[in-house]
Amino acid sequence: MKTARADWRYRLAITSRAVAAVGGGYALAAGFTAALSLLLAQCMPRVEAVITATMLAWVVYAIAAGWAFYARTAWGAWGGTLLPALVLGACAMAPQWMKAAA
Amino acid sequence: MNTTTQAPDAAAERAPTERAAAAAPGGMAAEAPRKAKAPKTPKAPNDREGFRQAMSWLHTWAGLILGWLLFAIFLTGTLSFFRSEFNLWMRPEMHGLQPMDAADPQVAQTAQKALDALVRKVPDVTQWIMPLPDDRDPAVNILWRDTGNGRFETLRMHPQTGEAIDTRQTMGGDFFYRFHFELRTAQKGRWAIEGRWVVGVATMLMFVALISGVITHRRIFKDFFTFRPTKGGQRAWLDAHNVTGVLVLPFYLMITFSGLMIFHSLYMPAGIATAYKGEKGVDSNAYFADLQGEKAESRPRRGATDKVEPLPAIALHSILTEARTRWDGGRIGSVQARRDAKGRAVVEVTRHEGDRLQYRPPRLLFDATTGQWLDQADATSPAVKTYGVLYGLHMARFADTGLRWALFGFGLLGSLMIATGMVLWSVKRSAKSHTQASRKGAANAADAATPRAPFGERLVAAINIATLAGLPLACGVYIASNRLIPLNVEGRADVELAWFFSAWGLALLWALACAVVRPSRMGWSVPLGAAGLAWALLPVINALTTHTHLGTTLPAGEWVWAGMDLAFLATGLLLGWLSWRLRPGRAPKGKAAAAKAPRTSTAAALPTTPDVSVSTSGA
Repeated sequence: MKTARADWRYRLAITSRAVAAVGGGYALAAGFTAALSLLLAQCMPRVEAVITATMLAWVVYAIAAGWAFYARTAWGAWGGTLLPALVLGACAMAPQWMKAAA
Repeated sequence: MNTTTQAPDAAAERAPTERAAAAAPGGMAAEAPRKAKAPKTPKAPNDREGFRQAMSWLHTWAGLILGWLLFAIFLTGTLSFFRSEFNLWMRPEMHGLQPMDAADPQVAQTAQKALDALVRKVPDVTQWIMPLPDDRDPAVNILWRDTGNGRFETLRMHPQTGEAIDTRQTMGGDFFYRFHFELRTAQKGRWAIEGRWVVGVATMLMFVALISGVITHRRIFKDFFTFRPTKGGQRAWLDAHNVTGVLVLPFYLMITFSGLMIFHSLYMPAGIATAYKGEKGVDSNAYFADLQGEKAESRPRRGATDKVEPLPAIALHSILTEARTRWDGGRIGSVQARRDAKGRAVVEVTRHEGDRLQYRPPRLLFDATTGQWLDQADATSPAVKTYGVLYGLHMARFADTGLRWALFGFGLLGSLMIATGMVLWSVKRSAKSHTQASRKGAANAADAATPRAPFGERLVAAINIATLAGLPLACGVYIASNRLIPLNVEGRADVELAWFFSAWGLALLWALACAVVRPSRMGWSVPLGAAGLAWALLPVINALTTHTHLGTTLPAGEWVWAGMDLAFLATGLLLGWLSWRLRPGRAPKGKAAAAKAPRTSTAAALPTTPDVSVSTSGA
C-alpha cells in the first residue's frame, strides 16, 4: 500500500503523543502541584496550599493532555509538557538544594 | 486505526488534526465517511478549527480506550447510591428491625447495649467503630479489632436487644461500592491499591473526554434540544450521546473531579511531598490530620504487630448526651473508641453524615475513662472545606430519598452517555468501512457480497456487547446468587462474586463468538434477554426463598424492601424490552425501519442495503 510508510510513522507519532500526554502531562501536573504548594504555603496554612494546588493540578493535567494532541509535532508535545515540568520541578526542589548547599 | 485515510506523507506528524475530520462527533459527523475518503481539511487550518479537531480526536480515543471500564465504574457507582438498601435487602435476616430516628435520645442506650455485648464477646478489644442505626440502616454494626493495626471484624447487632444478628455471608451492596473505586474482586481485597490506580487513570481519561467533548461541541445549547431518533443510525446515536452528555454535564464534571480529589493523596502526592517535607522525610500523618482538622497525635500510626493496651470500660450515655447538647440537638452518626498516640483511651463521637453537605462530619473527642470533653475536630479552612463539599457531593450521604433517586438517575444517564458513545464509535466505523467495502465491491463483486469488518472493529463490537449488556446481566446474577447459594457454603461471599464474574465472563465469550468469530444478530438480544430475565425473576426468587417478598412487604408498607423488588422488576422489564427490540427477526429492512428508533445494535444503524446490514451485523 502506498501509505504504508506514512501509516507506520503515523502510529509511532500517535503513540509518542499519547505517552507525552499521560507521562509528560503527569510530570507537568505533579511539578505544578509541588511548586504551587510550596509557594502558597508561604501565605496560607500548609494543608490549604496543598489542597488548592492539587485541585488545580487536574485542570493543568487536562490542558497538558490536550496540548499533547494539539501540538504541531510529537516533539512539540514532549517539549510542551516536559520543559515546564522540569522548570516547575526545579522550583519545587530549589529550597532543598539551597539548604544542602548552605 | 484503519489504513485507508490518505493522509499526505508530510502531514503524518500532524495526523490528529487530519484524522479528526473522520472522527469528529460534532457537526461534521454526518459527512464523516466521505471526508475520510478524501480529507478536505486544509493543510494549515485556522487555529480554532484545528484545535477543535484535535480535541475531537482526543475525545474519541480517550473515550474508547477506557470507555468500557468507565461504564462499569459508572454503573456500579450508580448502584452504590443505594448501598445501604442493597446491604439490607441482601440480608433478609435483618427484616423486622425498625428504622431508627438518629435524633432519638434512645440511641445512647442502644449504643451502650451494643458496646456491652461487644465487650462480653471480645474483652481485649483495642479499637471499635460503631455506626449507629438510622433511617437507612436499622442494625447496629460494630467494626472492631483486638490488634494494633490488624483487619477489622464486623459484628451486627439487634438495636433493641443487643443480640448478634446472624446474617448470611455476603458483601451486599458493598461489592458494588468497592468495585466502583478499586475493582474489588474478593471479599478480602486483593490489589486494592492497583485497582484504585486503574480507576484513577480511567477517571482522568473521563475528565479529559468531558473537557474535550465540551470543546468539540460547537453548538452545545442547540444540541441540548436536539434528538432525532427518527433520523436513524449514526444521527440518532450522536444525538443520544449529546443529549445524555449535555443534560447533566455539571454532574459528570463534579463526580469525575471529586473522584480524582478523593484519592488525591494516592494519585497526586507531589504537593504533600514538598509542603510536608520535614527533617525525617515526608510527614503524611500530619497532612491527614490537618485535612481532617485533627491534632496529629489523635490518629497514631502503628505497625501490624504493635501491642496495644485493651480499652477500659466506657460509659457512653453521658458522653452522647453531652455531644448532643454541644451540637444543639444534631444527630449522632457513629461512635468510636481507640487509644491515641500517647496511649490515652479516647471516645470520638461523629455527627450524622446526613446533617450537612461537607464530608467528613464534625467530631467531638472525649476522655474514655472520665467522659470529659477534650476537643473537637472539623475542617474549617476554605480550601479544605471546598474539598470536603466535593467529597460530600460524590458520596451523597446527605441526600434524602428523592434526591438520592435523582442522583441515581444522573448516574444512569452517565452510564448511557458512555454506552451511546461506545456504540457511536462502532456505528461510525462500520458505516465507514461499509462505504469503502462497497467502493471496492464495484470492482470486485464477489468481495462485496461478503464484506467483513476489520478485526479491530469486530473486537470493539464484541466488548461493547460484553460490557454494556454483560454487566447488567452479571449484576442481576450476583443479586440472584444471594438468594440461591445455600447459606452454609464455605466462603459464601466469594462464591457470590464468583457468580458475578462467571456471568460476566460468559457474556464476553458469547459476545466474542457473536461479533468476532461468526457475526450474528443474536449478539445483543441474547445477553440482554438473559439479563432481563435475571432481574425480572429476582422478586420471584425472593418470594420462593425468603419471607421478605412483595407478598408481605407490600401490604405492610415496608417500602425499603418492596421498593427493591419493584425496582428489580422494572429493570428486568426494561432490559427485556431492549432485548425484544433487538431480536434477530427485527432486522432493518430499509430506511423506514432503520429510522424508527435508536437501538443498541450497531447493525440497526448500518446503511440501508439489506444484504449488507445482515452480513455485517453484530460487528
